Amino acid sequence: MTAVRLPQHADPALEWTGAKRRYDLVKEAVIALVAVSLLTVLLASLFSSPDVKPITVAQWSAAAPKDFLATALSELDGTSGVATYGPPYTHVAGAGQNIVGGVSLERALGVQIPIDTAQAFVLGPLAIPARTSPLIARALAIYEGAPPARQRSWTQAFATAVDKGNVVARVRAHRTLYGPVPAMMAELLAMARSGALDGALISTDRFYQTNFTKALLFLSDGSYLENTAAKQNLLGSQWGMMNETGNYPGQAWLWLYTFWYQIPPFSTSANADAQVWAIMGALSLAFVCVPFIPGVRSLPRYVPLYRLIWRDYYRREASA
Amino acid sequence: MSAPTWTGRVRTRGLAAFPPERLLPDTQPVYVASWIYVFGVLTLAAFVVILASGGVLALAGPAWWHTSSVGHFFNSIHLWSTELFFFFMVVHLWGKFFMAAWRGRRALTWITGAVSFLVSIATAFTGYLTQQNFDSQWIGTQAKDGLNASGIGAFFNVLNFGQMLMWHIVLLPLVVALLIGGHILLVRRRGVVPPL
Amino acid sequence: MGAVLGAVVGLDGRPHYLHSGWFLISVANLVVIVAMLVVFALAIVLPFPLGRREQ
Repeated sequence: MTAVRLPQHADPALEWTGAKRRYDLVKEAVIALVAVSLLTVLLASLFSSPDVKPITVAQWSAAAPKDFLATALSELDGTSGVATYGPPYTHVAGAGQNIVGGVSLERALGVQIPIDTAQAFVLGPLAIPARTSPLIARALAIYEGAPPARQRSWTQAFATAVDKGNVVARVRAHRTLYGPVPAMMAELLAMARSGALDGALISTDRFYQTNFTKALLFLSDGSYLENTAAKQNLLGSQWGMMNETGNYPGQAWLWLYTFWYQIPPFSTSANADAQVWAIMGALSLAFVCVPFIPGVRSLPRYVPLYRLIWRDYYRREASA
Repeated sequence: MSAPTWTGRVRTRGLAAFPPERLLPDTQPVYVASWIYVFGVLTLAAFVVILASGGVLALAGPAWWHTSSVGHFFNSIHLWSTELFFFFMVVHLWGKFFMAAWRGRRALTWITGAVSFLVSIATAFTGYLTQQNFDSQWIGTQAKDGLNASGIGAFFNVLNFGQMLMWHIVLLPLVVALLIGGHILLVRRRGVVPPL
Repeated sequence: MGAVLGAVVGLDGRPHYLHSGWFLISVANLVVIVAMLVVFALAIVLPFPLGRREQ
């Protein structure tokens, strides 16, 4: 048998001229495909996949009417999360997260998905029953004809009433405090419970729809969606980015992305998203550029794992 | 003889870079002798299963798996092949890091691999967004804040199902496939990195 | 076919998590991460069958 010639410390840039062994690339690929297919079928059969039904506005308004009304009122008077969000949804001076100092990509790109929350979530949907109900038509006309300060005093008074409870009694006792808002909100709640508001939030002036932005923003402004998520440990403060509903594995590879949100200063920062994304952008770039980063690219030499991987080669080299 | 054609030039350069014995070798250097080396092809195999199961899901549309147990089964295949894809990719990545596999003019191999990882995350993310269930609602309404804060949200609207579905089934898989294809061709071009 | 191939092991129930201070991880994710580390270690340590040699 001829001796095996092994070049000493081969230059990695040069083509290997040393000893080779027979190797079937296509066979290896086919075996890998069959093995992975079988493993996948096994896992799918054993564990299936999660499919928790989506939350509807109808469900939300039935399960948490107080929260629904409080959210609707905040959309109407422009105090909701979406209304005060700033770009890309609304024009709010100074809104938008800063990466550092006053630098904000969010503000730079501006309002690209404009949402008028009062119109989108309350006045627009109510225009539908207003076509056949003189009561609602009149309530809307009174509301839209009033000056903004008056509108705000009605919505804030009614929000307080909803929060305190016994709404019907309070409204009967001090009608003038609330203006047309109780009638509008009662109709909106009825629309929500019937499922009509779900439909209204998705529809536009076109027939075909594929964009659920309005409906999802409305849901996200309330607490019902968030409370449901919290029960499944899906909140940002619960490492939620990594997690899945139930006991399914989630996205373990996102561990470093979600890690920053758990520790100060990011856990209490109003600019956490911008800051974390900036950090992860930089780290992702560094990950891609590992071959060029001194120190990092030398780490493998100091960790003896490579000696285990190539132990057969080193053993033969030493005996040659 | 007239000037060489574009086709001729492409063929000549292609054959020079990838002669058949290099493109489909039936030998390999003796130092390729560890189970760590199979994780690249395992990742590729998982990717093929993802594409195939995604293709089946596409046959009957995005709402099929909610109402059909067969559809749900193929959704499960799609989910678990994705879990395996990332599992094998990460083990492959760990191995390649500790082998310093970027040595010897192989930096681009590392780069295409790393970018594939990042684009795969984006692909999986758009997949989660287009499930049309509670998960999608939650992930979309949460992710929008991070994306908006970085300015991306102005053009990449995670709450727009139609947009996210097309990114998930057309744009991103194409980019991932091209990156993986380039990555594999680079490995064939330069050969497997020799020992440290 | 779907009914036969429904989940044998139900993962839809009450989620199980490990919690210590600010560290919180699902049992499922922990299993996956540990499995990755174990598989990586085994891949490096387990002997690889060596085939015929060619010069």
